[in-house]
Amino acid sequence: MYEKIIIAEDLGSINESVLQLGKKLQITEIHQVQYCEEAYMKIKKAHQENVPYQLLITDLSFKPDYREQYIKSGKEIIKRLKAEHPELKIIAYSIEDRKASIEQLLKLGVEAYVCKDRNGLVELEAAIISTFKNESYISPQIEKILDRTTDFEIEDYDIFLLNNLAEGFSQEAISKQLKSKNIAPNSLSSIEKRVSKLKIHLGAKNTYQLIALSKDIGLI
Amino acid sequence: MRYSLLISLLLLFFSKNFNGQNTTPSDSLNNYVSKVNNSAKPQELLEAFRYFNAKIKNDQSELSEVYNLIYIARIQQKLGVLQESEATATKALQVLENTASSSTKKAYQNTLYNHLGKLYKETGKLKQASYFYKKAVSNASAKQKAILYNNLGNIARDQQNDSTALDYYTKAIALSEQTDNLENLARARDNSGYLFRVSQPQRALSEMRSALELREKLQLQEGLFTSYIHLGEYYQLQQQKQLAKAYFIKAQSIAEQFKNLKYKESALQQLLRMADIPIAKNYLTVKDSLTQLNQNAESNYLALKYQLEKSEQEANLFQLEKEAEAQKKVFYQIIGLLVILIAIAIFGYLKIKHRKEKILQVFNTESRIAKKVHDEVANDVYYLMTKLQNATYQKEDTLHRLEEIYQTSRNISRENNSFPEDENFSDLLKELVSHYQTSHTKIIVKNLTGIDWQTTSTLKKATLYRVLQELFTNMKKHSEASLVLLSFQQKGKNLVINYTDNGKGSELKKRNGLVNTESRMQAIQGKIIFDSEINKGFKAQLIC
Repeated sequence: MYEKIIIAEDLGSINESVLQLGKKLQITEIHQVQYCEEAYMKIKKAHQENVPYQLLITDLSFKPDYREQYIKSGKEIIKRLKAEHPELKIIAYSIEDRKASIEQLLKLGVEAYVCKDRNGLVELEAAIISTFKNESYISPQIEKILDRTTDFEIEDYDIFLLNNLAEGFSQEAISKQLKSKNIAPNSLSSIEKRVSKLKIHLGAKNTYQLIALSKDIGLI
Repeated sequence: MRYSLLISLLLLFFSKNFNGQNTTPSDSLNNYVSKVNNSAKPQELLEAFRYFNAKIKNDQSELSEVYNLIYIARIQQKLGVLQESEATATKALQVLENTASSSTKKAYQNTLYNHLGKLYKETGKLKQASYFYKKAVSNASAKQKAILYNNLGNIARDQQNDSTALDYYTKAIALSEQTDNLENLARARDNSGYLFRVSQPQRALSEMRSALELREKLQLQEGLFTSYIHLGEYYQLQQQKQLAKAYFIKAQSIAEQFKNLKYKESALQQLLRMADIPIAKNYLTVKDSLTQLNQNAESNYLALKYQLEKSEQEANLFQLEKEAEAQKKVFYQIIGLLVILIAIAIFGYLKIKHRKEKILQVFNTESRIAKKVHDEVANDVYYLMTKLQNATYQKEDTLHRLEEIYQTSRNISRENNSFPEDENFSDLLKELVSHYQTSHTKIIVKNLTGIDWQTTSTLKKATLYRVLQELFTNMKKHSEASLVLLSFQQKGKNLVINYTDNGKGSELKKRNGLVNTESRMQAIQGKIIFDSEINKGFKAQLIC
């Protein structure tokens, strides 16, 4: 298990529970700080003294207070440390669940992302163990968000399909029409696939409902 | 000298003619007019000057002003202040310009043209002199014309232009014969003869003799004087000194008769030239050069004075312009100051208004969040607390309830946190959509990737984000929609976003959140149009 870790978290109660978790995992040296700049200084100092930290668990947002801080957010400290000390492992631990910001963190190279919610502590424990084994960890609900296919967009091609279906053409007839117009893809199977995809995205049980729904919301 | 003789003759003629225009001159006027015409004494001339000057102030009509000015100009000429005389004559012409045309006006104009012609001839400005004489010709009677042609001929002779001079003399002779005016005929013949005294002595002699005969016949004393002088000069050229001397003596006797000093001087001068005395010759040479010098000095002085006056006038004009400019400057400064003051006032007003609006906005936002915390969080916590007072409540249930409250509060925070401006807006919108996407509610997007967000300002993006968020929240809370379409369109400069759902719809009573979207869109010069009916879904169009 890790021997020397540092936790940057400005909320005392969370800090305490993470400390308990560390003790449970028999980590010998656990340091706690309330500002990310302080964490940065400590990590730098330890590195100079040749007794470096192995892991940083950091929140992303810190309440600003009377102390002027140069490093104001978890994202900033992660960016710096990953550039200066790539060997230091980092677990981001936050309530943030926006896909884009989490993807940014992963791009910066954090080893794990744990979402602070009901199962947060359990997931954090798993994250510590995984990262120690050089595996990455992401909270299951965040993984779901990341997997979510949001790239689906209705295209002119889809409108064409829906219009023709609404006019009563069979998928075979539509395929022929596409071929005559030189529009690809025009094979029957690709049309079938696209229509079933449309059904999923519009939540339609069959083609009739698909057309009805499309008309309802003014797609066709 | 000899020409001034002719000129004074002319002057006499014109003044006689001119006096004829005044029907009832008073006695004192007659007295002064004759003084101007006949006297050469400065004292008398000055008296006359005073008289006419005073008369100008009393006389009302413009024509009588011109009449007085003409006499003043003549006095000035006689006193030798030619520049002043010129100015007076010019002024008189200007006054005349403004009067209605009449025969008197024409006569005055002629008199003045003639006067100016004489002045310029005297100062050696031959071109100007001939210009004015020619002007006078156009209005003159046949008799006057003959005199003017004589004068023009004299000028041409002085300009060494003998052929032109001969033309004028010929015209003068013809006119004189036509009008049977022997006096003018004699003058023209005498002048043309005098012109030929070197080139064609025979012709010269016959012309001058015929002129002399005419003058003797008519007993024209002044004309005789001129003839004698001219003939004297002719014989002098022919080396017939006895004859020459005889004619000069005749001329001198006429001068004595007239008691005219100028005539006397010119006759005596000719005689002195004849007398073969070296000292006398020297004296005449010196006298001529002195006269020349005096004339030069005088004309230089006049030129200088004229220049001085001109520059003085210019200086005055410049001063005036400067003052006008200074006034203009002050005027513009005042306008500038006013503009600045108004600008400051408007700026101040807008700033105060803006600050008020901002405070109001902040206040609205605060109360909105406060209400949300009260409705959604505090109520739930209170509910949980009452449940916990009931001992039978299970730990697992409590935890479950707490998580719900946690989620609610987190959503409030998400809705109100700062807009992440550094992220790709298209991705941000997709994420927003995915956040509201559930297994019960499908949200489909059309043409989002077809919009270029590069040029859209952060404020616009943040506004659109918040408005869409509000629409989605509204949808989730109230609509029970199963399908939502969000389509993007670039129409020229405008971005159009259509939101459509198939939910319950509502009567278009705007709820708090939707009113907010309206003011938000207005802030970025955009608008939002709602369209909804019960059970027919909800539509919104955003244009910006």
